[in-house]
Amino acid sequence: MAKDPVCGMYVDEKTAQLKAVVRGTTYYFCSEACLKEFTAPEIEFRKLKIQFAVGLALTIPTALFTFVNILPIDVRNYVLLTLATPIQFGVGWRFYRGTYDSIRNRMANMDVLIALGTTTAWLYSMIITFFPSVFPTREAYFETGAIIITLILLGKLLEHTAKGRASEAVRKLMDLQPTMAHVIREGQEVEVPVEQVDVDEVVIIRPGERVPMDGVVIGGGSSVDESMVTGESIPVEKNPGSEVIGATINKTGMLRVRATKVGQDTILSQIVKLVEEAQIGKAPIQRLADRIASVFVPVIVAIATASALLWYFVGNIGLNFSVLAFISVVVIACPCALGIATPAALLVGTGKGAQNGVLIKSGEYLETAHRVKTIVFDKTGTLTKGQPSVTDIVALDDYTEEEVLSMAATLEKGSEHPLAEAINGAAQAKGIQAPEPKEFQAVPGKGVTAQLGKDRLFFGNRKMMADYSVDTSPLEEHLKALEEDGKTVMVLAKGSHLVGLVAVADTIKEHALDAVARLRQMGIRVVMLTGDNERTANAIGRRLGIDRVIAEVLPGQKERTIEKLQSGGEKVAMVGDGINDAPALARADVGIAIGSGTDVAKETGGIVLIKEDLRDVVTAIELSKKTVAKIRQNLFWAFIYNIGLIPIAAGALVPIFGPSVYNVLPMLAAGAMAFSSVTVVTNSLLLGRFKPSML
Amino acid sequence: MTKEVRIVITVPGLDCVTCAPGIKRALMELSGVKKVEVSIMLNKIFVDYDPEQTDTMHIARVIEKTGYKIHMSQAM
Repeated sequence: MAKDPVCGMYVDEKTAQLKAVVRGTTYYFCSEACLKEFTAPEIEFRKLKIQFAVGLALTIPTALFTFVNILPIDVRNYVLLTLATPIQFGVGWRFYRGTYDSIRNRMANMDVLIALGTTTAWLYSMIITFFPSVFPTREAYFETGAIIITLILLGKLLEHTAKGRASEAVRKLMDLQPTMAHVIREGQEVEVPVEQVDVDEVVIIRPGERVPMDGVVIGGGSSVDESMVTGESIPVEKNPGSEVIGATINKTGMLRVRATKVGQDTILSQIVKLVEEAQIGKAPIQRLADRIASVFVPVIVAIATASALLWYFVGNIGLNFSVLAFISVVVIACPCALGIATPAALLVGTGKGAQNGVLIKSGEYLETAHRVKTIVFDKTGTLTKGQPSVTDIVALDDYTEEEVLSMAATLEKGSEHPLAEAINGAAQAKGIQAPEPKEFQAVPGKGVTAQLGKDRLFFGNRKMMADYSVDTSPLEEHLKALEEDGKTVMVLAKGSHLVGLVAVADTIKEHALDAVARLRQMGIRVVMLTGDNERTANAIGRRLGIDRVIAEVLPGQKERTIEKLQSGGEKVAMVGDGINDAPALARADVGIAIGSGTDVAKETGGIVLIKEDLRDVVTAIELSKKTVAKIRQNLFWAFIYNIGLIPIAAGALVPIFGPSVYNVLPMLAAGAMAFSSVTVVTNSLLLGRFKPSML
Repeated sequence: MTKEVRIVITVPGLDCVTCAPGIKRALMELSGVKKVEVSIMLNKIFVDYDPEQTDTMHIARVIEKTGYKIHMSQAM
């Protein structure tokens, strides 16, 4: 079954009568209306092509008869008139239509300029032809309007094609969505449209099929190619408990999956929405360009009129050339390139990012990321895997290691801290059944305490021991050695007696070292933020080559820390968990949420990294720099085309080449204008060749 | 708190940057429309509006009056 892309109804391909092929894909429709609506943009484009072809066919002879002296003088203008008038009012009708709409809505747009310029040329030429005594010179300029119109249409054609290529990445993302799914209902496997699958229903995915929606594996096993959504090039193993992403490709095994997110909630839908919305957030550069664009037209008409008058009354170059001066300025002045300089680069850049699992939420974050001088990494779960495990147990006096572990497990039973998980996990592994604690109390930043039988137990860092007057000197050497090794050590005390200690370590993420090195290479200062004690934190910091370690930070203090780093006026980025570190990420100039996984939309931060891979942080910064560089290149070209050439159109070359330069200037102006946006969009497409340096 | 809905409308032929301010102004004059953003690259207009004061029909009509043909169901 195929889906009508317009109304969403399902159409049976085998019996469908109404279909159309667009850009290589066949679409099916339920009705004529839907078919017409879908193909409307294609039809528009086809009309544009036909009009250009007609224009070209008529312009060639026009140009020929103008520049080559084949025709006898008396006949010439009449022939040219016959060729040029259909171009002016047939092919060029769209500019009159646009002018009418524009004036009716109190706007002033490019159509007005083109209509003004070409009509002036045509009208002047008509007067020359039928009332030759009105003007001092005899030459008509029918070819001017014709060539201008034809060139502008050519520019539109090229621009349309280039724009299509620029938005390809986004369109490809949207096309990834599968249409059908195999659901288990009442014990039977049924094939249904993907929209009809509800959350918690079970679907079967066979080898080679696309995962229909986001879900969790409940049976079977396989590896899945997730590259099209996360950018991960190596297929990912999926077993019961693993999450799967809609639109990814199941490779060789079979999977039973329970649906968790459907429709607009799937990662794919969220990504598409995010990329689209990234196109409208306004970066400061773009606001400036838009403002220039909005005042452009009236200003240009003023400059054009002023130039023409100056040349006629002061420069004395003659009426004909003055009129051509007016036309030249009017034609060169569409701010098209200026208006598209930033959006074009932004589209290709964000599209490229999405392909790599780097989601940039708007142009302003790109710009800020490009200028970031300091990056702060949260330690646990960001630089490390967030899965600590017990590495050492030291027991004092007559206590055994199991007893120490058991007491520690009792104390950590009420805690949700990742360290607690490590300890409880270790206890379970040893088959230890730790008793329940009584009067449990957690002291943030220090440790936990509880009652076990007659004794008050304390389990935590040195600060806690100090608070409860426990002398840690018997274990100091152990403590120091373990901390120097980058481990987090917790001391266990009963009453005021030292019992032992438990050391826990978290694995540093695979690419942490390389990512930090690369960032520093890029001239960015790397800072690590952690609640760990100084010694442990510094040990890890040294191992990773971190510039500055900020340790013993309470969870509620992270935001303040970011603020302090910003007080120097520099731009600070923070990398952390998009949900747990939200306040600090929001405070940073660019918050980079790493490892978003399925909840892309909920993550705080200007940049969201889908994978847990730290190399993506480097990729995000590199991409931002490349995109901003591309925007600047585009603006450079746009300035030259749209603003730099105005003086030339207004007559800067006349002192050098004489007024006859105006015989060709209007057409050259049209050429420059027509190709200005194409240049900018094509230049932006080059950004599509970006490859992350670390992958 | 007033409800706000976002609608995204595809407008083929939204070529030049000079056309955007006019459409924006026309839409903002429609009561109930809170924010309008135009993307020339995507050929899409994003309109945030209060569904109790106006609806997609009115929005579509305003856009068509500026000279662009849109088809209603192309709005997401």
